[in-house]
Amino acid sequence: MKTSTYFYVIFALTILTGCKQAYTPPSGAVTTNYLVVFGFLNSGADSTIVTLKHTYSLAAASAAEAENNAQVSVENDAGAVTKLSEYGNGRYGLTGLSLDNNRNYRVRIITSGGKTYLSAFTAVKIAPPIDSLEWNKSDTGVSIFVNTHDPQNNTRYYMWDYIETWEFHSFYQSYVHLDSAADTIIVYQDLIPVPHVCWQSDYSSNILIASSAKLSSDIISKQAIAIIPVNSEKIAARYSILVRQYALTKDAFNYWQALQKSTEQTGTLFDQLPSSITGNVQCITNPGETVLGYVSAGSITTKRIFIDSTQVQPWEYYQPCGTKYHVRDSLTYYLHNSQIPIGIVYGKVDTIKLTLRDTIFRNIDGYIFTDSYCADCTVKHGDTLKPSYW
Amino acid sequence: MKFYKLYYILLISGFHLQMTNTTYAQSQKSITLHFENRLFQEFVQAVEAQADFHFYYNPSQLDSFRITINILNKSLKEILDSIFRDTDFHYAVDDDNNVFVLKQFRIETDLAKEFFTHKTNQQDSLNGAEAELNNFFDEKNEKIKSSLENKLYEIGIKTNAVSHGNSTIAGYVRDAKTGEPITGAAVYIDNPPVGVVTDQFGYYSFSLPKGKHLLKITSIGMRETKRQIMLYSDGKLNIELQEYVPTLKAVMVTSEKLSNIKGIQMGVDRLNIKLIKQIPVVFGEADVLRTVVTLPGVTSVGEASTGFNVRGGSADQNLILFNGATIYNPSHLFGFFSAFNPDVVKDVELYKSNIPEKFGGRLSSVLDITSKDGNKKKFSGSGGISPLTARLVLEGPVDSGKTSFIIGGRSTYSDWLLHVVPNSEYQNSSASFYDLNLNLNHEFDKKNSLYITGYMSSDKFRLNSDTTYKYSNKNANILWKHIFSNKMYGTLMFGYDRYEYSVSGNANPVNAYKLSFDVNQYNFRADLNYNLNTANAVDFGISSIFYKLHPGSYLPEGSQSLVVPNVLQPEQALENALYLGDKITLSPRFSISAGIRYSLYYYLGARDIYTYGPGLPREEMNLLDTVSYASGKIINNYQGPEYRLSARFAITENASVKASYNTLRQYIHVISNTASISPTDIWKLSDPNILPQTGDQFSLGFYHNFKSNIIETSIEVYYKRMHNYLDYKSGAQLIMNPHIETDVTTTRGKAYGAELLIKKLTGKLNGWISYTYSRTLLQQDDPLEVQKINGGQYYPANFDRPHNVNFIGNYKFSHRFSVSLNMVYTTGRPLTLPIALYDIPGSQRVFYSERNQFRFPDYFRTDLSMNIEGNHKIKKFKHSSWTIGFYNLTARKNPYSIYFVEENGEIKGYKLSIFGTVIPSITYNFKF
Repeated sequence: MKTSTYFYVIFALTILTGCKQAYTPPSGAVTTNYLVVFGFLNSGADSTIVTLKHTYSLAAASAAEAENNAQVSVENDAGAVTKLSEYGNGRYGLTGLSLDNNRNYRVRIITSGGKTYLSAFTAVKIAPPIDSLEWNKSDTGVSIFVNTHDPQNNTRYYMWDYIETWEFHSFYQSYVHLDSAADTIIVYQDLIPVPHVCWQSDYSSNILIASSAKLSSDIISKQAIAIIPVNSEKIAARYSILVRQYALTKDAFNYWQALQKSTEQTGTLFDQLPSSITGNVQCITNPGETVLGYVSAGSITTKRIFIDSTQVQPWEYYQPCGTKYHVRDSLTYYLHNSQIPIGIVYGKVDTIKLTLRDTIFRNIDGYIFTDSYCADCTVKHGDTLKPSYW
Repeated sequence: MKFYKLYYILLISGFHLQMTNTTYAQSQKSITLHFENRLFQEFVQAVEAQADFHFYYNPSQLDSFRITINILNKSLKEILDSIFRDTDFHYAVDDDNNVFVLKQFRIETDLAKEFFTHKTNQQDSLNGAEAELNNFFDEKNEKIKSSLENKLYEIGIKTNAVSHGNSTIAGYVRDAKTGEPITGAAVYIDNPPVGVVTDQFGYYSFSLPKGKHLLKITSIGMRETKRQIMLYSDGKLNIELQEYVPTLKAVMVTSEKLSNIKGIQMGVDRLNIKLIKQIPVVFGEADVLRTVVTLPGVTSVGEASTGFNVRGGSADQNLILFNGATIYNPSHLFGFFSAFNPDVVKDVELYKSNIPEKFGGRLSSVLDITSKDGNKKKFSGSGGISPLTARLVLEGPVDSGKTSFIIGGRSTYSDWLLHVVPNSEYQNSSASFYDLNLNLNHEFDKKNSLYITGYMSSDKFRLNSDTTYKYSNKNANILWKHIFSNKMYGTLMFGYDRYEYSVSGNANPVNAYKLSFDVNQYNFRADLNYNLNTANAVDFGISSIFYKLHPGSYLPEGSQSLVVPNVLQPEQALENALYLGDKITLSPRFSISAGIRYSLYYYLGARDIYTYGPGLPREEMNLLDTVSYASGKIINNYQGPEYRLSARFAITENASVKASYNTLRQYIHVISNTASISPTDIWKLSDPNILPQTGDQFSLGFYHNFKSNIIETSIEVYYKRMHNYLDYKSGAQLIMNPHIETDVTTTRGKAYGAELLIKKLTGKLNGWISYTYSRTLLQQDDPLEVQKINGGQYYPANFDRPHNVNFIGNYKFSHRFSVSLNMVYTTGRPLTLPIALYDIPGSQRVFYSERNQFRFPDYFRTDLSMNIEGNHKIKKFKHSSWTIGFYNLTARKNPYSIYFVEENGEIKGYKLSIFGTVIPSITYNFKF
C-alpha cells in the first residue's frame, strides 16, 4: 500500500509539476538591437517626422531606446537631398519638405556608429480629400466611419489615423480648496477652485487601412474608423475626432496589412500565429542586418467632426463616485489618502446639508470627502486648456 | 529374407501380385485410343474391347478422373504410365492380365524401395521441420503438421495428364488454434518463384503452373509450414498455421524465410502485435503508434503529440485506417497512449513509399491497422491492469465456428488520483479516456462472409486549468466479402466515421464557452482482386466518401454566459475514386507493380463561398462577393490521376533493388496552430479557394540479408515533392474563421531523406537500429501573396527533424524473463521565437524570428521494460505476465511545447515537459 501510494504521488507530480519550466531562448536568439524606422515624408506644408528607435527586450520594464545623433536625409531619384533636423528622442524632421509628386523618395540614415540605412524608393501618394465622416449609435456604442473616393481611380490603398478629443466634467464640483502645504482647507464662495472641466486626447492605436482594389471604381464607403463604447466618458459631454487620411502604395499597404494581423498577445487558445514582418528599410553597410519599419511619402487630408452628448441620448456615463464624512480631527490622514474635500459640514452629522453656497460660517464639524478624481478632472490626465477648435 | 517379407505383405493385402516387370510380355499388346476428356470407365471399356485385360478398381475413387489420350499402337503399360503420371493412382498387372488400379497405394511397385530406404525417406520428409524433434510441447501438433506436410493435396479436377498452363490456387490461411485469419502470411513456391501475401481476411489467391509443387507458407510469429500440392486445375486449399511456441532447447534451424528481398513492396513495414508488445512503453501498455514511430522514416511530432510524420509528410497526410475506418485522432490523452487496444489489434502495416492504388486521399502514408476477428474455436479473453488503466478483451465463437466476435474495452481511472493529491491545482485537473471495440464476423458459406466492426474512443482532460478538452472517434462499418471464383474475389464496404472535439472554458461564468468541431465521413467502397494468370494479379475498385464537416461553433456554456453564439457553416464534399492495378512478374528476378487511381472531388452546397478581387491576395480586405449555393449543389470540382509504380530486381538470392514512383492527391487539410500550449487542429476541405494538395515521391531501396536472412539490412532513399501544402500566414487567426483562406497560404514542399535499418528478429537478442535523415522544406509559392514567409525562401516545416536514431533491443534471459530497451534520439523540432518588442506608431508589436528559424532542444529518451511471464504450459487455464517498465530512464526533460505568455508586461517563455522524470509502471497482463 505504501509503495503504491508512492507511485501515485510520483505520477501526479510528474504530470503536473515537473513539467513547466522557464524557457530561455538559445543565446543569440533574442536581440534588442534592431533599428526600427518609421517615417512619413509629408509632401505638403505639414511636418515630416522620421523616428529612429530600437527593438527592446521581451523582459519587463524595458522600453525602446532612441537612436540619437544620426544624420537623416531625404533623397529623391533625381539626386536631390534634404537634410532633416534632429528633434531629440530619436525624432528627426522638417516642416514643409515640399516633395515633387512625380519623383520617388527615400530616406538615408547614417547613424553615429557609422552605419548607413536606406529606405526603398517610394512614390509620393497624394491623398484625396475625405468626403465625409459619419457616425451612428448602436447597442455597442458610437461607430465612426469614413467616406472617400478618388475620381482618378488612382489611390486604391488608404490608411487613416485619428486624434480624438473629448470634454469631460468631474462628478463633483468643489467649493472648498485644500491647501496641502498648510494642511488646511479654504472655503470659497461662488468659485470653483478645483478643475472641473477638462479636455483629453487620444491617438488611434490600431492600424486602419482599406483598399478599393477589388472594386471597379476607387470608392471607400463607410469604412469603420473608431468605436466609442456605449456610455463611455468620451461622449459624456462633447466629443471630437480628427481623422487623417493617407494614400499608400500597394507595397506599403501590404506591409501594414500584415502588421495589422499581428498582436502582442501570445499563449492563448485564440492566438494569432507568429509573424516576422520587416518593412522597406535596409542596412547598406551590413546587408544581412534586420531593420524594421516603413517609410512612406505623400500628403495627408483631414476632417474633423463633433458629437455632442445631447446627440447620443440616452448616454449614461457612470462614475463610481461617493462621498464620505470625516471629522475635522482626522483631516490630515485623509488629505494624504487620494481623497479631497468637496464640502463642509456644519453642526451635527445627521443634518448634513451640502449647502456649499451657504455663506454663513458656523462651527465646522467636519468635511465631505470624495476620491480625488471625482472632483478634480486633472487627476485623470485631463487638460484644463480648451482646444482652439472647441 | 527381405523378399519373403515383401511377399508376405502382398499376400496380406489380398492380391497375389508380381512385380510389374514380370508382366512385361502380356502388356506388350498394342492398343490404339483417341480420348478427349472421357471417364475412366469408358477408358476401361475401350481397353477391354481391344485387349484381354480385366480392370479391377473402385469406381468411387475414379469417377472424377478424366482421361485425354491420343495413342496409336502402344502397350498398356505405356498407356497406364502416361495416364497415371503425376497422380497418386497406381496400378499393377498380374499374370492373368488382371489390372488393379488403386489410389494412394504406393506399396505396389514402390514398396520394396520405400521399405528398404524407410529411414532415409522419413528423414527426408522431416527435412526442414527442424525444431520438431526437440519440441516437447508440440508433439501432437507436430505430428499433425508433419502428416499435413507429407500429404499430397490434389487441387482441382483430377486428370491423368496434367495439361500445360497455369491454374489458380486460393484459400484461407488461418491460425490453427483460434481459427482467425492470418494477414500478411506469405504463400509461395520456389520454382518458378511466385507467391502472394494474404490479405486482411487471410485470403490468398495466385496462379502457378499446373503440376506438382511444394507450397511454402510463412508468417511472423507462426510456425513455417509447407504443403505438397498437385495442381490439376483451379482449386482451393485452406491452410492452418501453428503458433510458434519457442522451445526450451531450441535448435535454431532457419529455413528460407519470406524476406524483404522477395517482396515487391518497398517502403512497407509490417508489424505484428507480438512484436509491438515487446517494445517498452510508458505505463506498461503495448502501443501501436509508439512502435510505428520507431520505424525508419517515421518521426513523432513531439512527445505527447497526436501525430507522426512519415518521410517528411505532415501528420494529416497519413491515412490511418482501423479495419478500413478512417481514424482522425489516433491517440488518447493528447498522445500519451494510442487509441488502439493492444489486445484487439492483430497487425499493423505502414506504407511509406509505394502506396497501393486502392488507398488514396492522403499524401504521405497509409497506416493500416487490422483487428482480430475473434477466436472461432473457443471462448477466450485477455486483459491487463495497471495503476492507471485497465483493459479487457473477450472473444469467441457464437455458433458452430461460422460466427465469432471480439469485444474489447479500455479505460483509465487516473482521475481519482489527481483528486487525492492535496493541492487545489491538481484537484482542478482531470484526465480520462476510454475506447471500445466490437467486431463480429460471420461466414455464410465458403463464398460469402460478413464483417461488422465498431470502434469508439473518447477523451476528456483538463490539466491544471479551467479549460476542458474533449475529443472522440466513432467508427462503424460493415463489409461483405464474396469469392466469385478462385481467380476473383471482391469486398463491398459501407462505413461511417466521425471525429469531434470540443474545448470549453468555464473560468468565468460570464465568458463560459464551448468551442466544438466535427468531421463526419460516409464511406462506400468496392474492391476486386483478379488473378489473371501467373504473371498478372490485377486489382480494381471504386470508392466514394461523403464528407460533412462542422468547422466550428462557439456557444455559451451555462445560463450566465453572455457569449454570443457563433456557428460556422458546415462543409460538404464527395470524393470518388476509381483504381486499377496490376502486379506483373516478368521473370523470377524482375517484377513490376503498376497502378492508376483517378479521383474526382466535388465540393457541395449548401454553403456561402467568398470571392476575392481577381489577381488580389485572398485577404478580408479584398473580399468581393459572397455566393450562396443551395444544398447539394456542386460548387466546384477537382480531379486527377494518381500513378503508382514500383519495380523489384533481385540481384542475388540475398540482395535486391527496388524502386518506386508514386503520385498522390489530398482533398482534406489540417491547419495546426502549434504556437499555443495545446495545439488545436482545424480540418478543412478543399474548396474554390483552397486547392487540393498533390505530391509525388521517388524512392529507391537496396536490401541485403545476411546469415540466412537472420539479419536484414536496408537502405532506402526518397525525394518527395508537395504542392499546395497549407501553411498559415503571418498573424493568422485560424479558430472560428469563416474564411480560412485569408489566413493560410499555399506552399511548395520538398522532402528528402535516407533510411538505414539493421534488423534482427530472431534469437535471444533481437531488435533493430534505424537511422533516418529526413528534411522537409517549404516555400511559399502563392503568386498572389506579397508578404512572403521568410522572404520567399525555403524554410523548414514544423515537423522537420533531420536526424533520428532509434534502437530497439530485446534480450531473452530465459523463456520467462526478458528485458527490452528502447532508445530514441531526434533533432528538436523547429520553433519560431519571439525575439524582440518594438513600437509602431500607436502600439507595441512582437517581432518574431524567421519562421522555424530555431529548434527545440534535441530529444533523447531511454526506456526499459522487463517482462516476467508465468510458466509456459500450453494447456493452462490462464496465462499471465508482469511488465515492469521505466519510461524516460535518464529523466531528461524533453519539452513537449514551448510557448510564450505575457505576464505583467513581460513576455515570458515556458517549456512544458510532460514526462520530465523517470516514470515507473507495472502492469499485470493475462490471457485465458
